[in-house]
This record gives sequence, structure tokens and C-alpha cells, in this order.
Amino acid sequence: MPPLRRCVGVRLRWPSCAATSPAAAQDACTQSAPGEFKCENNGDTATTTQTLTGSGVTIAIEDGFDIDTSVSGGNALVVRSRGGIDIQQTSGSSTLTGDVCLVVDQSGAGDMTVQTGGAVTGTNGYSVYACNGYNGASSAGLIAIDTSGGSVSGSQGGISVFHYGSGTLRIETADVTTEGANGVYAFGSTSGAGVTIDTIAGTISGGTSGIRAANLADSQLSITTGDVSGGSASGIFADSRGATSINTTGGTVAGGTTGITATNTGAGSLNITTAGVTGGANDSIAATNAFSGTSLSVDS
Amino acid sequence: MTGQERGITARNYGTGDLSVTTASVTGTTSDGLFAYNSADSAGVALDSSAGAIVGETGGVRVNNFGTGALQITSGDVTGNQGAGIDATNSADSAGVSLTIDGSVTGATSGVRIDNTGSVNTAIVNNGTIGATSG
Repeated sequence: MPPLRRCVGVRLRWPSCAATSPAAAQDACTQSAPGEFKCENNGDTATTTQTLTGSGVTIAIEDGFDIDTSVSGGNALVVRSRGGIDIQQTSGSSTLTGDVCLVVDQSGAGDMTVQTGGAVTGTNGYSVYACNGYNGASSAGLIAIDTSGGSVSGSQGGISVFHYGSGTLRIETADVTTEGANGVYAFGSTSGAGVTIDTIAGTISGGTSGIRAANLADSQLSITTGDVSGGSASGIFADSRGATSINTTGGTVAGGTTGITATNTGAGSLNITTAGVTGGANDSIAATNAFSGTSLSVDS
Repeated sequence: MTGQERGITARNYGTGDLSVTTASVTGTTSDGLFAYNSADSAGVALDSSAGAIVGETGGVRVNNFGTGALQITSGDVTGNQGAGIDATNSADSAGVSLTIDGSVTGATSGVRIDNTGSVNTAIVNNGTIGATSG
């Protein structure tokens, strides 16, 4: 399964978990108790990777905490846990810049929640790369990624989320831009309980697809957007094994190939509601509801 | 709503209805709207009265093999090389209902309906129907 290989592959590529020690005047993440971190604004932008690990990790990011590893190289913020992850911008905003800006890996039981409060920039990779449970570790719970507090941009991809847990997968964004792969990519395994993508607060632009979602579970896939554009592929590409709802009335959708490609191969209905949609090389909307589904509705 | 090939392609193999409601739709090199409803499905309802549909081949092309009725309500529809509206309704399907509230124009036919079912075809034309070469 390509997403699984990718997830594991990236994990193996990562360096060891040793925390770095930035200069005192630089912003830094410090551990106050096992698994409890605070990322503080010390005045100067952190220039080295902040790697935070634990059996359960809680991170509070304060206003003005910034990382920029574009000179030194490496990822900006790397978080790994075997018992849940909670990252919250507690106040204000922060700017994170790195090869892969924010890497979040939760491989045990527990939820993953991430809320950023400023710009998130991946200078040499994805901007946000999150994996909740891998290699069939479906003990993981829900995953919720919220970047609506700032813009997200990545050279190779915008937001890429792989969810093998038993809970829901939810992604909420403002602007997401990449000239690499997909603007927003969401993978929900057969263990999941539904996938929701809400980008109504911003514009999504991807080098391949603007938004690509694969929901392998017999559960709801819901996509709500403003403007979305894809480069070499669809504006929105949705493949679901459950009931599917796509609402793009908040903006226009444009794809290099098809504007919206939506396939429901599971139970339930496929409903698409749009404003303007443009297909660059193929159809503006291509919708297929398989034999195991119920009804198909297109309202454009 | 513009597609380089079809404007909209909707294929329903599910057990329920197929419903397509549109404003303006353009298929640059193929049909404006193509809809397929399988034998396992129920009925079809197409409503394009809110805008014009233009296809380089057909304007609206629909194949209903479902057990339900085929209902089409249109505004302006143009098929540059094929029919304006081309509808096929299977022997296992219920009836066909077509209401035209605009101008429907095709090259081969303005409106072509092939209803092999046992239930009637009803056409209400409040606009115009024309063919340029058919």
C-alpha cells in the first residue's frame, strides 16, 4: 500500500530522537515533566531542529515561538510519541520553517491533535507530515490537524496526513500552497471512523491535486472548500469506501485534468454540490457511485 | 462549469436515484452532460433549467437502466455534433418525462428519446426544438 510504505519510509529516514539544545537566547522547547513540553519565545528564532519525544507528548507553543532551520538544514519541529500527541498554539502566532516543517508521528494508543497558530513552511519537503499509528497500529485514536491560524506552504507538498487509528481524521486549514505534490492529502485506513476536510477559510493550491482524499473505511468522507486548484491532476480527487459529501460552494475548483473526481465504492450516497468547476484536460466533474452505494447527486 | 472533455459525467451503479442539477455547463470536446444509471439503480432526475448546457458532441446524454423513471427538465441545450438531448430508457425502467423551458438544438436531432419501457413518454415543450442537419 503506497501510503504505508511512505509513512514507514520517512520514519526510518529520520535521525535519532536526541533533543537539541539551542542557544539560550534562541526560542526553544523545554520539558517540564515527562512528555510535557513548552515551546517558548526567548527572543531569537530557533535555528536548529526541535525534536520532542515521549510515551505521550503535550506541547504548548507560546506567542512568538519561531523556528527557522533553512540555513542549518533539517526539519523544524519533530514530535514522536507512543501514547498520544497534543500540540497547541496557546496564544498568538508562531512561524515554523524547515525542510519538513512539522513532523508528527504517533505510533501507540491515543489521539493526535495539532493546532498551529501561524505560518508553517516546509522549505525542502512537506510542510506538515503527520502519521497516526502505522503498521496496523490501530490502537491510535482520532487525529485532528488545524492550521487555520496561518498559511501553510511546502516545496514538495502541503499537508500530508496518514491515519491508521480507529477514530476520525479531521483536517482544517486556511491557505495551503505547494508546487510539489498535493496541497492537502488525507489517507484514512480501514480502521478509521470518517474523514473530514474543511478548507473553507482559505485557498488550496497543489502541484498535483489541490485536495486528495482516500477513505478506506466504511464511514463518511466530507470535504468542504473555498477555492481549490490542482496542477497536473484533479482539483479535488476523492476516493471513498463510505458515504461521501463534497461541497465546494465556497469557491471555485480547477484541475489540470479533472475539476472534481469523486468515486464512492462503499455503502451510502455520493453528493456533490459546487459553484464553478473547471477541468483543464478532462471533465469538470466526474462522479461515480459504485454498485454497493445508494444514490448519486450532483448539484452544480 | 467547463470541462475540456465532458462538462459533467455522473455514473450511478448504486441502488438509489441519480440526480443532477446544473446551471451553465460546457463540454469542450465531448458531451455537456452525460449520465448513466445502472440496472441496480432507481430513477434519474436531471434539471438544467438554471443555465445553458453546451456539448461539442451531445448536449445532454442520459442512459437509464434503473427501475425508476427518467425525468429531464431543461433550459437551453446545444449539441454541436450530436443531439441536443439524447435519452435512452430501458425496458425495465419506468416512464420518461421531458420538460423543455428553453431552446434545444442539436446537429443530428434536437431531441432523441428511445424508451423501450412499457410506461409512457411525456414531453412538454415550452421552448423550441431544432436540428441543424438531422
